[in-house]
Amino acid sequence: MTEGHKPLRDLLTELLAPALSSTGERPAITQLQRLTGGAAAQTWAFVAELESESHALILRLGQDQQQFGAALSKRQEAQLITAARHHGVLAPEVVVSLPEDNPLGEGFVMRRLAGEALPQRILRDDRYARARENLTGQCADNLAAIHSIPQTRLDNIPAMDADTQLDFYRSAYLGYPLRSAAFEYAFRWLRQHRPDTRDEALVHGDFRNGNLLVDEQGISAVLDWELAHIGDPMEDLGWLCVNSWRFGRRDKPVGGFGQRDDLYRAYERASGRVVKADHVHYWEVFGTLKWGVICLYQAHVHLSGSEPSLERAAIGRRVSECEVDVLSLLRGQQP
Amino acid sequence: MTDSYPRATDLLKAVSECLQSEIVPALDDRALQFKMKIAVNVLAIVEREISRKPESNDRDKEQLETLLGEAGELSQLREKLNDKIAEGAFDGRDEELLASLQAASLRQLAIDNPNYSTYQSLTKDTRVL
Repeated sequence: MTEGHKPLRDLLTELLAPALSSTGERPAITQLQRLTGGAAAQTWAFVAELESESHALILRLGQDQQQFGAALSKRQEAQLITAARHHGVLAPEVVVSLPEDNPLGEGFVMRRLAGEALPQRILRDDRYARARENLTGQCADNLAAIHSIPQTRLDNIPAMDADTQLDFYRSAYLGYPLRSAAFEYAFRWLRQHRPDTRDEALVHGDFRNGNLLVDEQGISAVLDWELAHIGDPMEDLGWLCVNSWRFGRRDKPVGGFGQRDDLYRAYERASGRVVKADHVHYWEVFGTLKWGVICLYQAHVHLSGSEPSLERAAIGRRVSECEVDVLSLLRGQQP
Repeated sequence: MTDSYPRATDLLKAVSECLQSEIVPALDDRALQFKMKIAVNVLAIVEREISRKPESNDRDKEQLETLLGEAGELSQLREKLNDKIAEGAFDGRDEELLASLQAASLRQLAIDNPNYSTYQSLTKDTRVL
């Protein structure tokens, strides 16, 4: 692995010399490997070695042509992560953004943090027992901090309220051949029950178990900022509770590790906002439908032949999970 | 056809067991092991679909005919139900509709992923199918 990808390693050396060393010492790039995960972007891990120290780093590139939803550019994402970090969010440290006109396209390098992001391990392994106790409160604190980032610090972050997003997911859904009676009902219900949102904020857009880097004490970083937008802050709370992100721990609605009331009260204390359960419920219904439409999209990308893969085909069979979840939410059967 | 004739579900089982007990242990690559796990899951879906789909379709058809108050082909009934829901034709009959939709989705989930938490929880005490 270390020997391969010479053009990429040379480029990283050039890029990182001024960012890591005041004398412009050129770092050697070692242990370069592509990581799995992050469907909407390429992620690489590597080490930049200087004479006296070495830096464990991550390169994120946005080259996927099949992005779903209005994802931020890597340039915007880097700006946003930096703003979030300055605002007390546990966000990664961006070391450098890739300059314009480089052969890799848009991207940035950030510091690699220790921790686990695989939800099943976080929810199961003994070493994360303490972390699991802390996670709900830490989610509340980080969400409150994200939702308080002044919008004046954010350029060109798209505004997406419930209606805008319903339009987007409805038209995507109608583009696939399969229709679902459960989803038809959910779309109609969501149109009819739109919440009255007066205090819009920066919304992370994908804050869930799976996008949290966790160590023995809890969250060490909030990852994957590319779906951030201006919208209803309750959207983030609802998405965090979607059953798909509980990974089998249905009785712990908050990410498979916590209870709703604990999240809501901790968030109220940290943010000064009032949380109404039915407002979060709306976004949980929305999030469950959204994940269902994403499953349909993945299956469609496979079946249309544009990007066939076993994973995408299999995800198409997760639609019935979303149907049952959305219906049980609407019938008041979801814990 | 004798008892020694392997049916489609027997073939799927044989492939699945071979993959799990012989191929997976021979793989060093974790990404390939993960893919093989998905492949084994997919074979199990196909196996359940072969054994459950005919009855599941019959139940779907009955339910749709009750909901819509008319007889017809399954695919046409499904299409009609989707259109009617979108038009709001079931407003006021929400609980009846939701119960029926949930029973149908649970039948599909029984094929796709019967280990799913919501499936386990909703089918634990009563036969909702």
